[in-house]
Amino acid sequence: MNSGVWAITFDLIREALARRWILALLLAMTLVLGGMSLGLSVEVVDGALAATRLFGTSLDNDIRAADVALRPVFEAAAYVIFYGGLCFGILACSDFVPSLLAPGRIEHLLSLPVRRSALIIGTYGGVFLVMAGLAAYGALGFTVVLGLKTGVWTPRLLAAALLAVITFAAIFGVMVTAAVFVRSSALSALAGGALCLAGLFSGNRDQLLPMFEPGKERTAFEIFCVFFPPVAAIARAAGDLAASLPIDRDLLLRQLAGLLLFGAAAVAVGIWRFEQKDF
Amino acid sequence: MRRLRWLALAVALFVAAAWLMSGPSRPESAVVAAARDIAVPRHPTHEEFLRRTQRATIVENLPPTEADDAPTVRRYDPLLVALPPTAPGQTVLVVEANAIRYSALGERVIGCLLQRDRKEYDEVVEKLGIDPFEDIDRIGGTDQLLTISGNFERLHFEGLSTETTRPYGDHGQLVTEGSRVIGLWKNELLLISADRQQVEAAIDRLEGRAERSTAPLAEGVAYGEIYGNLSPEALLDLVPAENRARFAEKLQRAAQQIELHVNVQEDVAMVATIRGEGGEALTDLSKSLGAALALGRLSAANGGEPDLAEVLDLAKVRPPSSDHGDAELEAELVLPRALLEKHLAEVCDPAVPAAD
Repeated sequence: MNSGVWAITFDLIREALARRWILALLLAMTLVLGGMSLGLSVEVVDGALAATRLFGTSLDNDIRAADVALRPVFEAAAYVIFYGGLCFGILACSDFVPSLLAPGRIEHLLSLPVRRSALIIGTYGGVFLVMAGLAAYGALGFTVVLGLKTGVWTPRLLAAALLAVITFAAIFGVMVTAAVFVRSSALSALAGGALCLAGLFSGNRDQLLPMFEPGKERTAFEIFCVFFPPVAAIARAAGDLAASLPIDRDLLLRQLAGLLLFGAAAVAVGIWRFEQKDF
Repeated sequence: MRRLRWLALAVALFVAAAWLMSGPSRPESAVVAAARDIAVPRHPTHEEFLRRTQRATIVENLPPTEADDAPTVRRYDPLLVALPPTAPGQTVLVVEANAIRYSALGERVIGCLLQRDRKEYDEVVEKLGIDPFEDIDRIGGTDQLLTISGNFERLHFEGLSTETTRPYGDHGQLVTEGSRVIGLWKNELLLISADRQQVEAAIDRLEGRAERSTAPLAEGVAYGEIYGNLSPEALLDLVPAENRARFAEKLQRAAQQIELHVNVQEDVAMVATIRGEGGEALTDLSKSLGAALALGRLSAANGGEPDLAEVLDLAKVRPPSSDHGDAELEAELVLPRALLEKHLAEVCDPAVPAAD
């Protein structure tokens, strides 16, 4: 990657950190993690969870192995990070490309010795890194709080957060392209939301397909599912990964590779369109 | 061309992404993956068609008709001819015992049975003079008569503590054993019934002294390893005992005939076609069967049998459609070998721990 892409990437990260919503999100996440660390009282004796109290209220009296007892907690946290991260990312990152293309700014950027493709790739990379940082902060904070309280230290929540970031990368690729075609934050967010929704269907296609009788409708649904990222399936994998449940590693890696290529393909369409445009 | 390079790259990446994302959306157990590939018996295979032709060993020369001067030849399968005519809705079933015995699943089950009861089985073989697992080909039955085809040359009735033996017809032999009458025809067909007339009538049909075209099963339905018609009363077992009397009449009206075909080779695949007078009753029945499947699925899931629950997910009930005049519904179920093997292992190999 050339220096132009990195320059745009770091420029976007600086811009993102200067925005109030990023700071507000970081503050909110810190407050939740702080609240949990103060309010959650977990007694672990010899690796077994003896009692759990949140803000003084008893949650569970069964004595079980701590890592087993905490599985639902990690699983729930993974889902919150995954879907929460996607929703936040779609809403909060929808105006980066429209603002990049804003009259005045785009002419200035095009006057710099930077390729047009570098502008799009740099913006895409910058958003990817911002989201990766936020997801890592949330997952790491949660891991540290639970680790300190229970003695259960597991990097699985970080791995689950990584899945969320890769899924967002695919979605943001489409958002970038939508914004290049029509410079609108609303349309960009709508495209991201629609793709996320389509991913819920695609990710549950094995359960939905038997509802279709063999024929044109079923074939159409199968084709539809193949071309959209299986968001729900990745979310399930993130939950299972965080809860230390068995996952099909080969299938997951294949799906993640598909997501990354899908995101890259969407960005390539955006770059193609961007290179056609006159400003 | 240079202007299109990003577009070309995008298309290539989209295709690669679609290929990568085209797998199953969630990891499937080997049992469910296997169940998806099992074909249900909907029509005879080429082998079954050939087998049917080879079995039609009774040849009947029909006299020339006004429309056709040449004499016509009709061929019949002795086992199907021997089966007595039944009223619509009565049970008539044929089991391809030899085909099942030599299937992968059959070998496993027989190995399991013999492992436990080898001594008793050897005593039966010595007493009868035949090896049921080797010498029996098919078993067909109705409420009145049981017919068994195979090779009975070495069968000795002495082992059956018989009372009287007498010949009947050209190739028949009748034996009375207690309240049962056993007929042996050409050393290839055993006929067993509580009613002597049923056995005699079967031999009459086989030897051409009675109408042969009254067979309760058409040769066209002879496919799968188990096939035939079930009495609608079989469905009553699905109804709680206290409500059976109330539902019996309605069920018999809705389901006047149940045609069954079961494949038992590597796996088990079953199709039941339920025919009735059509209308709302059959539609309601299809919904009830669907609900029964759903309950079975829930029960399996709660009972710690996730594989069975997922296999039941694949079971289907096709409601009546206008293609068949709204007068038939279909239910299909597959049980993959891996699932059956798990349960067989619990029975056959005591060392294997029982499934959760």
